[in-house]
Amino acid sequence: MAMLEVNDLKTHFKTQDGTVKAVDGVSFSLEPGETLGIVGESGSGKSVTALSLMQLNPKPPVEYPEGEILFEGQDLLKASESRMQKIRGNDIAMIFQDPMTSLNPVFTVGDQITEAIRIHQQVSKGEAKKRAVQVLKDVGIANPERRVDEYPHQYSGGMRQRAMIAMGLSCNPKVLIADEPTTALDVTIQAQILELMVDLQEKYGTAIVMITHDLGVVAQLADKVMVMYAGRAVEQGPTDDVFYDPMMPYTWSLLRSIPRLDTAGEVRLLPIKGTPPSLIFLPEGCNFNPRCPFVKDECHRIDPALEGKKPGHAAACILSPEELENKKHRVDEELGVEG
Amino acid sequence: MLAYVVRRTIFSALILLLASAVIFYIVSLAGDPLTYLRQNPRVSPEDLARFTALYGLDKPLWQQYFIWITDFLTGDMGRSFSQNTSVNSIVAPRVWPTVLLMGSSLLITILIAIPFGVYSALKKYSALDNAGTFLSFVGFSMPTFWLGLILQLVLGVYLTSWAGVRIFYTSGMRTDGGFVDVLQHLALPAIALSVISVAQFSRFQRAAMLDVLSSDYLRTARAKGLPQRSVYLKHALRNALMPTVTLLAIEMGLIFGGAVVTETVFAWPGLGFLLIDSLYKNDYNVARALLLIAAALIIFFNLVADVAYSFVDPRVSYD
Repeated sequence: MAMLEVNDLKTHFKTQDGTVKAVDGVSFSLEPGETLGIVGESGSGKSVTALSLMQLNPKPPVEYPEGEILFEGQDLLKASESRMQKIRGNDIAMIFQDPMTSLNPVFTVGDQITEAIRIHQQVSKGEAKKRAVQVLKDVGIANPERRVDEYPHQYSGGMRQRAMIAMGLSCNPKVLIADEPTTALDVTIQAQILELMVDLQEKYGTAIVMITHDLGVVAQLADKVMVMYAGRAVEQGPTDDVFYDPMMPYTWSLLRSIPRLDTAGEVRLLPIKGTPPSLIFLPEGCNFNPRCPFVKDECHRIDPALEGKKPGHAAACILSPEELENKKHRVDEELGVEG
Repeated sequence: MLAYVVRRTIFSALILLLASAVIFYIVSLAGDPLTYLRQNPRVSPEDLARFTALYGLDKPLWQQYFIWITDFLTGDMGRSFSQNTSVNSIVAPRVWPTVLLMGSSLLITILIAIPFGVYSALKKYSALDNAGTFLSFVGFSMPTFWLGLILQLVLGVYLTSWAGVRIFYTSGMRTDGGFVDVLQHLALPAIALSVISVAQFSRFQRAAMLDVLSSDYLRTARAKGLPQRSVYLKHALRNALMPTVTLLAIEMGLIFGGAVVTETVFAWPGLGFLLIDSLYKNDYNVARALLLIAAALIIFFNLVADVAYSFVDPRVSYD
């Protein structure tokens, strides 16, 4: 059995306008040391999925009508709040998108890290502080002995994200959920942070769930990918398979909508027209049909389920692989993409 | 930090000096301070001339100001026009009642408004929160003088005749009374004053807490595995109290100048009542002294608020 196994997770928000199916039947699994990338646009349900794993969605309005989140065999959806408190930070840790606002401004970075350590482990204050200095050193903060007593505002953005990672790793969690950890940082710092996460993963064997809308980050880090659209997984598989042979027009469109360094200037970009659908009023048939470049009549009637297209590679699309290949090829020729 | 405080103090002194000139001038515009003597047929023109000279009213206004402000700086607030005594001796006994009244009202406010505001934020839109919203609205819109009169009527008059014993007094306060006597006099004006500030501060505290509750760092605190209690009481409260502390410090400057309306309604022997009284009697030197003291307190507590902020919020420093 996988260390973390999510089966048909549904996270719904009850609102006055109706039920928002923020996550609507998502399944994946994670082994120790593995990295899963969750990709999607804003509002596709990535972050809600992550917060569901931690049981940190506000209840109410959030409900979990179906599904299970099995962590080492235990269903977290059924776990008590006190049990979850033991798991959070200790077994499953999370780092957040915006390091500028995710640290409490009135406590020192050291206080915030030692707090995490002392919740989960019976150690003295002095011992916890030593550990805090050590993790700050691990994440590459210079002068950790001095920096540990500083406040978040005395850190730069990149350092704060390092401090967040240090806090996340301070109890050696088995799973680290990183919710867009580099989005708020500039590109050079992004690369450093990603490299740091890979190093730490190798050192501690942590499994990582990397949530991002940056396909480059996923390509660089993830062993496998889950692409989300309107609360559902629309394509899932090993990273290379998904990137080199996307089986869902949405994934393919995403890849065609970002510039590539090697073909810059030669290849036109293909924007995905329109906006993601409202999660309350989803379109008839396939959720992606209003924006799909390959849409055909059946797409307005049939809501495709995620199905295996190749071993280990699943996509939610009614087009057969051959049909899809032909259509991709035709558009690629227009755009000027070779091969 | 010290440099900042010194700089601010010097600056404050200049502002206060400016305020003193404005206060002096504006009060002098109100007319002739010796009107009541002129109206008295038994006061002869010679006496009037003697008084005019005694108070320096024969000198040009700017000279009067300089005499007044230099005396003030040496601790002499001048002479009263209406009583044959120094302003110091009129003001001094009024300080304690005002401090007592305002202090109790402030204490009631802090003890009720802050916990209630925090609770309302934590239980947003619960029955108690909605009741709080409604009552704050009522309390906030109620004029103090009206509330004062109603309290006097209900808790003073009706309650006394119903119970057959006097529980609350409706006006005044004896300085030589015992503790219980003081409390009996203090209760109504303190309640009247507190209603509005509790309404105001509980709303304020609620908003501050709500603001903090939706912050990213609380989610971080939860994600660490902290129990809900410490998330709220440690991580949230510390941040949510910062704006309140500042506002309270500023408020202190405003209120120790005296609550004019409340003190008047309850004939409370404090500074606010004295101010109204002195204005009725054209006793300008008393009015000027009280206004300048109020200005000084406001400026001082603003400085205190700024300095206090640097202690509660590590992001603020004045180096």
